Order: sequence, then structure tokens, then C-alpha cells
Amino acid sequence: MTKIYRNLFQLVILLFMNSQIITASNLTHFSGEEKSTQPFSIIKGKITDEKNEPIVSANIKIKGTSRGAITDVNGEFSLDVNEGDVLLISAIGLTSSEVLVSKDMLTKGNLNINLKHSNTALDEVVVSIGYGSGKKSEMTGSSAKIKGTEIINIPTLTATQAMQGKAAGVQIINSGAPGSAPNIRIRGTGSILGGVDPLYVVDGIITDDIRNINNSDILSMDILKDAASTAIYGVRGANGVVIITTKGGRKGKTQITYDAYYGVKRMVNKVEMAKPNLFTNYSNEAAGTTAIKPTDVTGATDWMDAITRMGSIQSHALSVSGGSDKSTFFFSANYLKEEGILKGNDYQRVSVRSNNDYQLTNKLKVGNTFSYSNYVSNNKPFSLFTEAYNAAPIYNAKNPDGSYGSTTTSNVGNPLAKLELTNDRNIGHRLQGSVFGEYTILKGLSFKTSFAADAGFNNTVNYNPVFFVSPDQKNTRSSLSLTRDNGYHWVWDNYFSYVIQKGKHDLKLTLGHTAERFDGGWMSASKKDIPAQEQYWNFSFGDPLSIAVSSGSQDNYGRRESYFARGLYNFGGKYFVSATIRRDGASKFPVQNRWGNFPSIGLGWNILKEDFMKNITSLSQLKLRASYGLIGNDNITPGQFVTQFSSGLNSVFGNTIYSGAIPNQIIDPNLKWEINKEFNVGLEFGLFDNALTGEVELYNKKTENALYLVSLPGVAGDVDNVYTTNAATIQNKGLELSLAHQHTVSKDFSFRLRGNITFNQNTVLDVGQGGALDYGGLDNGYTCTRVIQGQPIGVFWIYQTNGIFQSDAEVSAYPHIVSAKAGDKKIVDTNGDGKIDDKDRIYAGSYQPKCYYGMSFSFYYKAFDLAMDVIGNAGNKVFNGKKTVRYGGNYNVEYDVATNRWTPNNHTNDNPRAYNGVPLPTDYFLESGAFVRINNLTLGYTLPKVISNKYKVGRLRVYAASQNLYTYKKFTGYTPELPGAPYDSGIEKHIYPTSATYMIGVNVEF
Amino acid sequence: MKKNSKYISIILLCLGIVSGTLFSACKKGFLDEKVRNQTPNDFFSNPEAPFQLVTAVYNQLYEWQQHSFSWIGVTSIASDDAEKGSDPGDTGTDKDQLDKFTFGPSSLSFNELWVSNFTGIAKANQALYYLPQLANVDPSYALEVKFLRAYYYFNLVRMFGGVPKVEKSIVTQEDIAKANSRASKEEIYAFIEQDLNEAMNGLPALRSPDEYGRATKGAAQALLAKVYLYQKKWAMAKMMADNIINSGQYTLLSDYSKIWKESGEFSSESIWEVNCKGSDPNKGITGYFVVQAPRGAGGLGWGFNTPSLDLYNTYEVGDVRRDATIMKKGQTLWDGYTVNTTAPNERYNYKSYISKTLETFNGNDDQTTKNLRISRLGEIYLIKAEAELEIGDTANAKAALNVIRNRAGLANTTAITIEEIRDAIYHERRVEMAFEHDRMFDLMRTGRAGATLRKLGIPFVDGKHELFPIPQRQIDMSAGKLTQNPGY
Repeated sequence: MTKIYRNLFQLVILLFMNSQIITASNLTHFSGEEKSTQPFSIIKGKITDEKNEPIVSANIKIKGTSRGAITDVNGEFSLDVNEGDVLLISAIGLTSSEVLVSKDMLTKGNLNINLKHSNTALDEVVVSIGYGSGKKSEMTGSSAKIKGTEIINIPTLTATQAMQGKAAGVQIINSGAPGSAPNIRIRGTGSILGGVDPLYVVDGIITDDIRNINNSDILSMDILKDAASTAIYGVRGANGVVIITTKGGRKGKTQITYDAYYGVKRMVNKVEMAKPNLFTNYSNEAAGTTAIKPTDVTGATDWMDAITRMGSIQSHALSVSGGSDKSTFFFSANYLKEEGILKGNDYQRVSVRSNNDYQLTNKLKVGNTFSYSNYVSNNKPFSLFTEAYNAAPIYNAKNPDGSYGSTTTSNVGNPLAKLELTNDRNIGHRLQGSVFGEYTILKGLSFKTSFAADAGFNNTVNYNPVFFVSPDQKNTRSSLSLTRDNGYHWVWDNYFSYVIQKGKHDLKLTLGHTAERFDGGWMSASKKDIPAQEQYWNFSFGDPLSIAVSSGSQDNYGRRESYFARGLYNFGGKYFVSATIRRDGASKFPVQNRWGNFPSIGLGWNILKEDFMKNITSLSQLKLRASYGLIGNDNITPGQFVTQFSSGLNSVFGNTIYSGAIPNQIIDPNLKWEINKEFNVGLEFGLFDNALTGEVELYNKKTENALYLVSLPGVAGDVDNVYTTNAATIQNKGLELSLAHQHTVSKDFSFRLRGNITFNQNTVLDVGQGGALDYGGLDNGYTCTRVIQGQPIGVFWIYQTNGIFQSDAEVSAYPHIVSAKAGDKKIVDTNGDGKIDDKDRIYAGSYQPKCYYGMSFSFYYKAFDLAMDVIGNAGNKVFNGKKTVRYGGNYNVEYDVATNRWTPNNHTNDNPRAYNGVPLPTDYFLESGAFVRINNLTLGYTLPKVISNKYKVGRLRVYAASQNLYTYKKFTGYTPELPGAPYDSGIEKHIYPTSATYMIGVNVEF
Repeated sequence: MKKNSKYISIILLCLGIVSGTLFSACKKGFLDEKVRNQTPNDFFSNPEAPFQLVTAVYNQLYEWQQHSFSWIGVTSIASDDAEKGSDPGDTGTDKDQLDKFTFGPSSLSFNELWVSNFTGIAKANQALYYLPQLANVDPSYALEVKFLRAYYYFNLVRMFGGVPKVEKSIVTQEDIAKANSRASKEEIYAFIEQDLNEAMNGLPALRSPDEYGRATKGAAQALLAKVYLYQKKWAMAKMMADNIINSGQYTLLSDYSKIWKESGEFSSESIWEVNCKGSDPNKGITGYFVVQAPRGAGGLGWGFNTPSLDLYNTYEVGDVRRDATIMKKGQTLWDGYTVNTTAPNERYNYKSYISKTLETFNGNDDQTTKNLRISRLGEIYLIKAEAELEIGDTANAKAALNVIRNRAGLANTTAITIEEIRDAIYHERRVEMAFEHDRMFDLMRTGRAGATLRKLGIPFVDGKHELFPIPQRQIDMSAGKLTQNPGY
């Protein structure tokens, strides 16, 4: 059946292509003749608004072609046109207009067009939809658009970090670490073991890492959320798609922009630890003896202060763009440097870009995008934050003689020594680019081919010197490890676009094919006894016997081939139908499961255009839409369906290690991708001439065939006692609401308020034959999260407590663990079986918020602009994991925990008695993850034109801003934003604390 | 210019056709990406393949789950030889339960040991499946594998009684379902004996030093002797013990304290050890040393499995084995290392100690040079003594017993009656083999566990605790086909 279908599909495509070749070649011929008799001419024009103010960046396009122009700062443009061409003129915030090119115009060679201001802003928004673009008003699926201008002044490495709180249904979980990418969840977490991050499409290049992209280069980001929108990306659309379009040049005067900022970063939410006296008291009370003697206290160190500093961030972005009738260009360069709050931890990136378009003939356009970026990242282990939390405060970080301090009473090494002795650096290069050609075969029909490639090269240098801090913290032989890895990816898209307009019928068709390949490998070597000086960190030195080499393939290698088709139809702008289908083949699946089809359908109804709505004047916009589609998630490790020999199962005979290998994994030879079935319904509305606009969306996304680890009994002899199979069903359902209000109070004062909120409910509906999976290891022998039917993915699975045992009598009267004493947390025997064990654990909420929201406020008064972004989430829990690890009485303890601890004289119910053991994972460590944050506050001032023009500057704006200025939270740890895997996020353990940034910046345009 | 553009247009369209036809025409080729890990076909072409299979079966011996924390807990902490150790609140997951006999089917250690031994068995079955498919295979390889399979089964039958009998490699879900029900204890013992008999008859008696760690005829005989002892097949046990003793291949070390030191590795007394390497690149039994090393400030490890006062006091005056087995808080050890005086426990296991200064140590606490002595001549004498006694030859029994006593610096036994001699042999096994993963099974096998442990306040229940519980997790996954041992 599928085979027949597949063949049919190919046949259609081939027929389509071949027939077009004939037509196309004829046409090319014709067009040549056409030119000789009726040369097309250059028309110059100016676009203005009602007040005759020039409109900058208005878009002029010849209907049915890809040709067009964009107005310059004076509102002027020029364009090659033929008589009879229809110019489509549009600009943001203005009513679009169509102008027929008359003979008269051509002879005059001049055209002045007046556009009216419009509040129907939504109408004008052009959205990227994958292999093309369209008006938002014609769409039946759910997507969000974020313009480059909204993120340009936010001091983050990637654009995704900057879009936090700006779109409904998009949750961004940031880490404070320089060089890190955030977790992004579009409409919840749709997989347990597969990938959960969205797909990025940067100018047609499919990638999962956009850290090479300079934020200033981004024109816009379109976030495709529902299945109807993402089905065009088929087997990779399941987690949503972020389409990033980088800037191109514009016809007209050459524009130069310079955007720069500098800021300092300060650690916020420091956790106060016990000072030496309190620590000693606490530890000795817990030990019941004087384990730490007064003579052991040789100093007083606040370890968090010792390893942290005031960080900084700076960025300088320069771009030059412009163009003529035949070509446009865009060049940019960016330098970004971030110094983290952890000493010695920094990240810097240099990136350059060149995007160029050439209109070779009126039918043929070619172009390229190209970017190169280089980064250097100096890394320090994040575990240092936990070690600084744990380290005993009773000795000096550094002694007066410069040596590192140490203590015999602690088995946490000196964190400062570890920090300073870590030499770990990544240096990487990335090249990303594409070339494309677009040919207009006949009016309305065009063909585009695009070849894009992405290559990355990374070097890692890790040097461990010889050192002696204490008998437990030493290294007697230096070692150097060098790693080289590279990866490449190419994708080749070919597709036809066809636009037909007849009367009220409007149909757009897209039909295409794409193929891609990705591959790469790594090689790593290490050697001992390398000299400490950095210039000797190569393998010419060192002990030749100690060399060890390993190599491997990139995890994600493979090939894909796909066919796709899309139809967008509307009748009079009133009724909309869209349908897409993608047929995907992926090499990573067994032959019988290699191909899959991913269809979607969407319907839209512009209610306001109905006659019966005519009299309702307060409504300026009302559109209802619904969609349904299937999309896939193939983001899993390749080759899991083949019996493999696991190597590294070594043994020693004599004095030699022999390598052993044997199949030790039960495999599922029938593995498939995960399938999402998503239903979406949305309502877009505008009130009072669009002074208030909004969108409400309801979605229900069901992931079927989700990968799951089904437990295997011991007799199977499987190395990890589980096998990966398509067993689970996960549901994410939710509600998104976005509202925007804009108001121009007077010529001098206007403001805009926007807000969005998303409610998402995540549930594991079914796990097939699989049982519960335990995750969230706390490094103390216990786990705290689970994946189990009926609960959200990664639900906290912990013991419940009910105050504190106030006396030993109370302990013996109630079920308790062996070591329980007065002053311990009273763990509830929830199942009433008279003993405390795993069966008493409860499901205590999830790291996934019940809702998350963002608000932004913008005020414009004369030359001043003030903007504030607020983000937050509610209804989630976080686990204070670092607090649960306290071995043997020499780990430090939080000031509050120590001072307010239970003692025979202090009958509190909050903090237990002084205790040196390993506590059970109880709700004592579970805290609210809710927070509200002033994410961004910016005050800007634009120099009046009269002044700036005097200095030949088009526009000059200076601003001061703060990122993460204030967070209101209940959590007592460093940060409630805790990225992680789907099954064990929300645990604060080895986390990089978030920091606040205070910065000044400038935007200049020449 | 214009002309060029025309060509470009044509090229573009051709590209369209190429992409459309090329990929569909050779689509199978394009998506046919080879899996990069070693699959059976790739593996067979490797000349090292046969020995790699055998090595992988041995590899299970080094696993944390096989011979480390859980094994220590079940064989030692549960017995009267040792306490849990460490800090009072540090449960070691379930070691407190093993220590106090409050464990149940959900206690983690049983599941770890169940799974690990069955993983060893599965590896053995895989090796036995693939070895005949390979060319030029040394026929003794299959016998080594069978020897190891017998060892893994012996561990299982001692802990749980009858367990599933898995003879073939498991590939599909159906194989698993079919395999996962219990055979009788007798069937398992018969299977063990069959494997060991085959191994004994085909394995080489001697191994060159560069093969140390691999199974020998003697290793199979020693294990078989013990397997017979557990089944009370006295004559067979005696015969096996005699075979080893009379082979003249093994002699007792005169210095008992040397047996567990690095200098005593593969000594004249040694019959089979798990061979560990403490120099780069190292490979040891994961965590074996660090779990048991002295705890606390300036300590070396976690301080579990601490010798009980009962064990300490059970040594006769002048028995050299006490101080070779037990180290005390504050004591300066043979290599000059002093156990810290603030350590939370009074005594620690000396046999698992490695000297970081005078033995091979590369800084890796987790994978040390400490070899696990599984069979040695000392025990063979005690098997002989017990078997002789039960056959009725008290003189021979006492003679064998005295060999061991004399080596430990003690005079001949004064036991006279059969009961006295039996007690003396059991006592001798305890002190000779303390911390050698034997004591708990000895108590269970001889029916003395209840009386012995209850005397120490351990709530041992007769009719229940002679076997450990089948792990609940395994019962749950068998759809009820695995039955629980009585009393749990």
C-alpha cells in the first residue's frame, strides 16, 4: 500500500517537473523575444503616509514574481517594471495597496503612492511557513512572530534566550552559564527519551544549535507551534519549529548600523552559609563528639565569594547593507564576550556574515547567505558551585604564602584550588551558508533550488597539572587531553511555488523535494607528564607509554530524503483551507519503517467579512481557525534496532587488559519514530479599530509511539535491564492567550502593552508494558523523579513529612526508619503498613509549570523610550538537590538551616536536628518553583534628528538597561530556572546561578 | 550576461530534475547508511573475536553489582562476622536491613545480585552461541565460559534456591517470557555440576603467568568440591578435595597475612582469583576497596562491612588470622598507614585493604589492584575435613583441620566427639575465611544461622531466612510466574 502510494507520489512530482521543463524552456525563449520588442523600464517612486512623511522599509513587489524593492530612508525606491504589472505595496502598520503599472507611469518614470495608517497590524504580518512565506491573516495554524528589533538590545548569546516570555506556548529555561543554550519547550514536553528541543531552520539550514548566529543579524523569528504549521517539516516537526530569517540588503542608500552594549553581571540570590563557629557547633552536635576541634579552624572562607566575581558582557555589531536594482548586499561583523560570574569562566565569539541577492534577469534571482563564527570558551566545572556550597568554611582558600589551604576535617577539596587548576578550553569554528536560485517560469509559477551547508570544527584542550593541595586533593602526574571533532550537514531543497488568483479564488501551491546528509566524527588523545607551560601543550612532550587515543562517529549521523506539498486556498479572504503533506525517509530506522507520511489540514473563517457582522463596528478583526495534523519526532540515536557487539567489556589476564565484546543489549528490531497528533483551535480578534488585539488558542497534542525504556527481567541479561521501544503515549494540552494594546495618546506620547499566558498540562497517558522509570539521582544514593503513567514526565517522587519528631517517645510511637531520633523529620507512613519504605513515596508535583507568562510594556515619550519585560511561571516545584548531600559531617550547612535547627530546647517543626547522614528525599527539599521576574528594563533616548543629522548620523539612540533586575521567588536556592532532561529537570544540583546584568548601549545608523 | 543567465536558468531546472530523479532512482542507496557499531557480521571477521567473547564473560566478575557493595552486604554484613559499619544514619541503600534482617523482597541488593549473575549467565550463553560459528576457536574457550556460567549459577542457588534455568542465549521477548520461571534447586545444581565436570575435564591444569586469572582444571575442581559440599555429597566432595590436594600443584602459604596482599596474588595457595590491575590503565572490581576502607576524616573510604566484636572475640589466643583479618581504629598498618582515631567504627576489614604506598596504586580508588580470592587451598582442606567427618573418618577430618590450624599458629585441635569436631570445623571455616564472602552461606547451609544470629539479637526466622527473597522487581516482571520463597 505504502509502496504504491510512494510510487504515485514520485510519478506526480516527476511529471510535474518534466512538463515544466518544456514549458519553462519555451518561456525562457519567449521572454527573450519579449524583451526585444517591449523592454521593461525602470520606475522610480516614493511611498508616503497621510502626512506625506516618507515610509522607510515599505515593501514593493511585482505580483506573481519574486521581484521587488524596499524603500530607503527617504521612502524612495526604484524597480524594473513592465506595463501591466501589478505592484503590491505594503508596510508595517499601513494599509496595503495594489497599483497597476500604466503606460503613463512608465513614460513619466515616476510614481508617488500614499498609504494610509492602519491598525489592522495583523493583516500585514508576513510569516515564514517553511519553503515559503505568507500573510498571517491567511494562515490556519498557530505561529508566533518575533522581530529582530525586539531582541537586538537584550544581552544574550542566542536569540532564543532573548525571546523568553515574548510568545505564548514557548517556554525558555535559561542557564546562567556563558556559552550555554537554553532549554526550549514549545507546548510542553512531548518526549521522554527523544529530543524535546524545537527544530531550527536558519535561512533554510536545519540545525539544532544557533549559538553561531549574531542576534543583530536576525530579521525575524517565526515559531511554528501546531501540527498544521510544522507538518511541512514532517518527521522533525514534533517539538515545534523556529524559523530564523537573517537580514538582507535593501535597494537604495547604503546603510551602516552599529549596535553595542557593555554591562556587568552580578550574582543574585546568594545562599548564606554557616560561618566557622556555627558550622563547628552544628557538625559537632551532629557527630555527638568534638569531631571538629577549635584547632581545626584555621581561617574563615566564604567559598562562594572565593570562586565568584563580577562578570561582564559586551557586544559590538556592525553591519553594512544596501543594494541596487540588480543586487542587494548585507555584511555584518559581531564580537561578543561574556565573562561569567565564575572566575576564569568566559566565552567569546566573533561572527561575520554576508547575505547577497542578485536579480540576474526579471525571471531569475540568485543569492547566497554565508556566515562564519569562531568561539573560544574557557570552562570551569559547574560542580564548583555545589562544592563551594559544601566546603567547610574553617580554613583559608589561600594561605599567606600563596599555597592553597586545606583541612583534614573535610573531604570536599578546596574549591578555589580546583577552579584555578582546571584548564579546559574549547575553540571552535563554524561555517554556515547557502546558495539559492529562484526562477519565475511563468506568471505565478516559480522554482527555487537551494543548497545549504553547515560545518563545525571544534578543538578541546584539557590540561591537568601536577599539584598538591592535600593528600586527598593532589595530582602526581600531569596529563593533557586534546580532542578534535567535526561535523557537517548539507541540505538540498528544490521546490515549485504556484500562485493562482481568479476572482475571489486564491490558491497557493508548493511542491518539492529535499535531501540531506549529516555526518562527522571525533578523535581524542591523552598523554601524561606534559610540562605545565601552555606552549608545551602538545604531544611532542610527555611519556610516550602513556598515550591513549580514541575516536568515534558523531552521534547523529545519517541521511534523509523527503517530498512535500502544500496548498493554501482562500475564498475572498473569508474562508481558508490549507493542507500539507510531507513524506519523509530517514536512514536511522530499519528498512521496513524508513518512510512515513505526515499530513495536516487547517480551516479558517474570517467571521468579520460575513454580512451579518457588518453592523458590529467595535470589532475590527475576528477569525476562527482549526487545524489537525500528524508530525513526527525522529530525534533518537541511530542504529538502536540492530544487534550490536558492545565493546569495552574488558578483563585482566596476567598483567594485561584484554578487550572483551559481546552483544549485551536486547533490541527492538522494529523501532519507529514518535508520532504527534495535534488538534488546535484558535480565535484571533481585534477591538476598537485594533486598539486591543488578541489570540486565544486551545491545543491537544498527543505523542504516540513515544520511546520508552521497557524493563527487562534479569534473566534477559541485558546490560541495563531495559530496552528501547515505542511504548508510551504522552499528552500535552493547553490554552494560550495573547493580548496587545496600543494607544497613541498624543503626538508625543504612545504606549504599547502586550501579554501572553500559557497553561499546559503534561501527562504520561500510557507506558505500554513499561513500568515506572526512576530518575533524578541526587549523588547520595537516592533518586527523586519518576516517569509513570498518569503523572507528568519527571514528576517528583518523594517522601512526605509531617513536622518533626519532638521526642524519642514520638519516634517509637510512629513508623520510622532505623536511624530516626527526636529532631528528625517525621516521614509519613502514607500507605499505613507500619513501615517507611519506597511505597510511602508520593507524587509531589512536577518541574513543569502549570502556567507561564510574559508581559511587556513599552512607552514612548518624545525622544524617550521605556520598556519593561516581566516573565514568570507558576504551579511548578523544584527540588533543592544540593541540600541533600552531606556526607560525614564535614559539609557546610545553610545558615538558616543551622540557626533554626531542632534542638531539645528549640522545638521547631521546620529544620531537623543537626545531622551528618544522608537524608531521604523528602518534601523538606521540595520548594515552589514559581517566580516573577523583571526580565528586562530599558530606558532609551534617541537624539533629535536635527542634531544627529548635523553629525551625518541617521539615528542615534543611547540606552541603559538591566537584564534580570529583580526576581520574586519563594525558592531558597540560587535559581528556580533549572534546565535538564525531560525526566530530571527542576533539580538544583551543579547549577550555574543566574545573574543580573546592568548595561549601557548605543544604536547608531548612518 | 543575459545569455549566461539563461544557462543558469537551464542549469537550475536541470538540477531540479536531477534531484527528483537521482534520489528516487537510487533512493535505496541514498538512505542506506550503515550502522557504525559492531554488528555480528563485522565482528566475525575479527581474528580476536573468539577471545573477546570469552573476555566479556569474565568481565562480569569486575562489576560493582557482581562483587562489590551488594555481594559484601549479602555474604558478610548479613552474617555474624560483620556490622553494616559507616555512620549510623548511612544506610548504604539497604545494608542496614541486611545487617538487622529487616530486609524484604524489595531490598535492592538482592535485585542487583540476581541481575548481575544472570547477566553473567546471559553473556556466557551468548558466547556459547557465537563461538561455534567462528573458525579456529580453541575448544577450551567454551569450557572457560561454562566454568564461569557455573560460578554465576552457584551464587544464585546459594542465595535464592531454585532459579530460572537459562541454557541458551535470549534474543526475543518470547525467549524472555519462556525463561523466566523457577527450576528446582536440584535442577540448578545438576546444571552446575554438568558445566563444571565438562570444564574440569578439558581445562588446562596450569596457566602461564600471562594467563593468570583464567580458569583452570583446579579452579573447576575447587568449585565442584564446594558445590558437592553444599549438597552434602560428602564422598564426591572429599574426592574433589583430594584431587586438588594430591595434585601437588598447590601448597599453603606459610604466612597467612600474605594471602590477601598484593604479594600474595596467584601464590602457591591460590586456585582462582579475579585478576585486578592497579596500574595504568587499570581495571579492578568497582568500589571493592573504597566501600570497605576506613571512614572519616583522613580516611580512605566509606567504612562499610566492619568486623563485629563477636568475630574479633571468636579467635583463639595466638591465632595469627585475627590481626590479618581485622584492623582497629588508631592502628598502624603493615605499610605504616595509621587508621584515624576519630573513625566512626572500631574495626575495619583488613583483607580488602590496599596500601597506597607499598602496593600498586595509581590514584583510582574505584578500580584497585585488589584481587578477589575466590578459591584457595586453605578452604579445600576444610572441605576435605568436613567431608571426611560426615563420611565418618574423624582421624582424616582432624588431620585436614590441623593443617589449617598449624598454619595459623595454633596447636592441633582438642575436639574428640563428632559434634566437637563438627563445631571445630565450622569455627575454623569462620576464622580462616572471614570476609571471603562465605560466612552467611555457611550459616545457612549448615542450619546454624537461626541459633547463631538470634543469639546476637538478629530476628532470624526459621523456615524463612534460610534463603533470601526473590527480588520483588523480578516477580513483578514475570507476570507472576516467578514464585516467592516461603515466608516473604
